[in-house]
Amino acid sequence: MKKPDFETSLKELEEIVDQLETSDLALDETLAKYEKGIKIYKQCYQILEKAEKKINILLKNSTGDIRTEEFKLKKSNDMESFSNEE
Amino acid sequence: MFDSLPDIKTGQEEQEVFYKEKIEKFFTVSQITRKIRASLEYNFSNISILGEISNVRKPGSGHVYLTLKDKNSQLQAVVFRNIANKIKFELKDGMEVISFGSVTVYEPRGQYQLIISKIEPKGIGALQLAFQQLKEKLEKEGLFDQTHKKPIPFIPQKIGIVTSPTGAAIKDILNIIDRRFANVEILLYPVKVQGEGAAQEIAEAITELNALTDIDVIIAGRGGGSLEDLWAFNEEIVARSIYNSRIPVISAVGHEIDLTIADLVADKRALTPSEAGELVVPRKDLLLDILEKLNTRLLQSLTGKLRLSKERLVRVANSYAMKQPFDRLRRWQQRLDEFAQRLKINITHALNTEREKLSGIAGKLESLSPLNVLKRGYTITTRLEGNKSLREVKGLSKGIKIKTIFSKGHVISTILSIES
Repeated sequence: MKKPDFETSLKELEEIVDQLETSDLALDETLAKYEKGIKIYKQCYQILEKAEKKINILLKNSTGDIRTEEFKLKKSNDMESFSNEE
Repeated sequence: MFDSLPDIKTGQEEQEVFYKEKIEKFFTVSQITRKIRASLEYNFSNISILGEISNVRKPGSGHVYLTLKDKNSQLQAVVFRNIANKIKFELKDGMEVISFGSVTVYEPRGQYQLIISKIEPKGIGALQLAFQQLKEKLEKEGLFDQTHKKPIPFIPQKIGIVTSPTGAAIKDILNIIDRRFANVEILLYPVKVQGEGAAQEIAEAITELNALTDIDVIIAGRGGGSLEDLWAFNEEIVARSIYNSRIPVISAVGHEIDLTIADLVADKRALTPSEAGELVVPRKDLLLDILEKLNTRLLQSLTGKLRLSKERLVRVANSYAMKQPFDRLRRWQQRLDEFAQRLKINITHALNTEREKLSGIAGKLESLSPLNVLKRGYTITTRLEGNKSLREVKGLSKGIKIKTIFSKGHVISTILSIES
């Protein structure tokens, strides 16, 4: 389950942009770097957006079987008034 | 009852009578022991005793036996299992303690002893002492070593949270996460965070989350409270479950001033549950901003580069250098033409020479040709059959037919006579 690491990818993207901006690369090299940069940008973006918001609570029955269901905080100002509903 | 004895008896007699009566009214050992016990229990119930612990014994029964002593005296004492289990700190020789309990007699041995129902270290709270002792022990074992600490993932996909579903901590954590990086998966493992069995539940939750494959980081904690309230997070079982967790653990117990053993073992200590929310996810808006800026720069650098290249191309195309190749080509073509011309001349010349040579040879050949001789009026004579020219009359005889070849045409004649 090793996913591309965001921090490493971002650093790589920064390096590519720096190179494109500062060094005098040949045109085909520039295009290759740009394509790589875009690929990394998309990967990074995907990492940020791919997970869905989901808050579950783990529940066990008397025989120790585990299931999960959605966990909701009550919309209330009372600190102690939220609980696992339903 | 001695008052009723007759006065006339001697001292010795009196004594004998005394003993006789006493011996007739004996106690069994059990009876007297029970009496002693009752007496001690009546007089020495619920008392506090200051003394130094020595000779601690902890047999398999779970009861703890020890001797309380001071400079001059010793007192045997016992802590029964149910009490011993509740003592947070470890009873050790040399420790000054205040023991609360009742004196009784252990009848089988006829020994009196203090049954301890509560014990406190002198000059320091039991919990503080327990904390110090466990901290020292685990430190020695290396549970707090920096080298063992795992990095917290920068962007976790799924976060396990071990806390009470009804406490302040979960609310704080969820609020902060929602504000910073809402689209993340969270699994709350609900546990008791204080009181009997809380430490076991917390430890079990951490262990069980480790059995799941998709949890990237665990937050274990609770909101603020008294030292007693937070105590579960100072228990060895919790410390060990955190240490053994393959998933990085962020501790989030109480407030900044509440340092717990869990905080020391955890891969990362959040000072409060809210801070745990900040440590566990980055601010997505900032990351998106960084990313978009990089994307813009990426695009700009490319378009800049392309524009530059195009300009350069145009410039280059118009430059002398770029035109030069055509010039050179033309020059080469010219040279080729010249060369070809020269080649042609040479060949013609060679051919002519050869031709001349050939006609010279042909002339020579011609002059040698017998046909030319014939042209000059000579003839060639051969036998009628065969074309070998005849150079003498020898071999010829009268009546043989011969052929005489002229420059043009020939005649056949018969030899009439031969003269040599």
